[in-house]
Amino acid sequence: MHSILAASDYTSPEVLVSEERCLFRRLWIVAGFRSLLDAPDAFVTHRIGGVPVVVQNTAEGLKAFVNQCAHRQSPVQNADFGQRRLACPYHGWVYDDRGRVKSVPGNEANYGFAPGAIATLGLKPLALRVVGGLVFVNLDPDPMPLDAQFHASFLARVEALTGVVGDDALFAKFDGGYNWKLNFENVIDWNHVPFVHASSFASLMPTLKPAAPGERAPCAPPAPHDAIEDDLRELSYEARAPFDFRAWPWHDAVERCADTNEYLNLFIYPNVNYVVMAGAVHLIQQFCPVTSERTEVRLTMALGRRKQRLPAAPAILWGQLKAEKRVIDEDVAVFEGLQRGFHDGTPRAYHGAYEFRLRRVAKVYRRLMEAA
Amino acid sequence: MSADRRLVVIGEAPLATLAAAIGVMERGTANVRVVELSPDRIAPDPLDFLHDDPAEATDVFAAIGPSALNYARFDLWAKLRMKGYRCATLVHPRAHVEPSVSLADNVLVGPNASIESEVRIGRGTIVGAATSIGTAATIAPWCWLARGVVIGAQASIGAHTALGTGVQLADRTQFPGPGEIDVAGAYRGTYPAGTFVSPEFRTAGARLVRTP
Repeated sequence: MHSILAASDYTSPEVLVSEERCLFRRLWIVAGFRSLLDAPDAFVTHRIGGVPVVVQNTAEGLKAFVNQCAHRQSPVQNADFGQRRLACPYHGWVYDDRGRVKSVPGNEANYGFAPGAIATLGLKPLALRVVGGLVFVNLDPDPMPLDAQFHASFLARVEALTGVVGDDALFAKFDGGYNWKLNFENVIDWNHVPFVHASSFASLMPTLKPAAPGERAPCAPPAPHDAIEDDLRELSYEARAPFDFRAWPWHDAVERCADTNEYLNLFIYPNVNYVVMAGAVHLIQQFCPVTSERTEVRLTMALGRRKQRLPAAPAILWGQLKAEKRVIDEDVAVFEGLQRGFHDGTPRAYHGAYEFRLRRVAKVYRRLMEAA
Repeated sequence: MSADRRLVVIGEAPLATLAAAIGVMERGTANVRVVELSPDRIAPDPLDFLHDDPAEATDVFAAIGPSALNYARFDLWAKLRMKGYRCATLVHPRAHVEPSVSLADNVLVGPNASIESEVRIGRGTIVGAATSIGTAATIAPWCWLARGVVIGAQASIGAHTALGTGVQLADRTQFPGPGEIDVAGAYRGTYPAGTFVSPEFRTAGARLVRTP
């Protein structure tokens, strides 16, 4: 069964422009861990659907804004993470907890705004929801209800699994030369693990080793496209697999949300793979389009809330993140080779029966893209 | 250094081997012994192997490598101190250390290392062979400077930092720990606390969102 997506869906700049409008500015997008925004004036910045976004802890709670000063469109916050009031570094305009301009340095001498006029200026507010330990942002002025994008049962699992995340966290980002969709398609394709990660990862996942001849019963042929349901809520789901994690004494020093010997994923459409390792280490993998053929991967790794002193937390996170990055690099090598091969005559991908989730993603994607 | 005191080096090769070699040069073969202990055994091990080495007559040295940003070595040191042992400072005879240098306990300075005047090196830090540290630089406790690292004058390295082979920090560079640079090359300026650079994160590195 051929995919309904063509090579041009992975290479065309025009397609990316449509994706920004039809997907990233319409859907709820994960912005990060709630626990990293607990401190006053803590913030995280993002680029969602081409739009710079800041999520800021204000005296009125978490707020999301377009991260562009009302004056000359400079980012109000520049760093990926930080703790700083909402003040533009370019000309010093300061914003209040609702994103309204609070003060303009040198107003009388340089700008001449009447006192009332300043109050009408401000940062564009965005919709924000917190589910467990995750912050979601939506750029749509009339955002869809969360439960139109995610099943209630899935949101309950997000709440349970992410609600234990603490504030020990490590952040890194890097670019890859491939289309962002390849990343999400890959994480929901369990069958690549024994081949791409044979030496790094698969050996620790006993149930994902390739089946010996005759070990697995033949499956039914792939269902026709019409039989694949196109419910957006079905694209985000939980998966879990046994994993031979080494037991470390520090596992007992943090709150855990799953068994020690489990590798758990929450696939959050359109661009997040949320991983829980040994119930103690949480990782947000975000696949953010930069161009149609370039993706920024953002990794935020955090531990469960500390139950006791854990001074070695940075070392634990660093060791885990390096190991995870080595696995991701194996995927990236595949994506970049695949992306380089795309050309006018590239045939559509072929999907077998087990790839029904990929076909569902493609079907919903097509519907969302055509709806706008 | 007390040539008449015994030295028990506890840890794993290659650091334990080097520490023992320095100990033998200081105190003689009969006064030095090595006990192998891997990082994952530090927490459960009751250290009963020290039963015949009274704290009053014995120096010890925690010879665990850079595992877990040197927290493993710190853990062993803390257990040894709780048992009343004094940790030795070991300087290879072929290292050059200016008299004004301050070296804390459980510091090791490897062969052909060069440490200029007024340098301060904190507890538990390991200075690798052929490493060079410039005048008035400050190295905080529990750091790991691999072979051939160059630290410029007045540079400052924070606690629980690991610098890999071939890393060169320019004069006055500030690198607050915890952190790691494991890609050879020249670095300068002031880095945010909790910075990590490795072959896996070569370009932008990784950063702690909130430093301890």
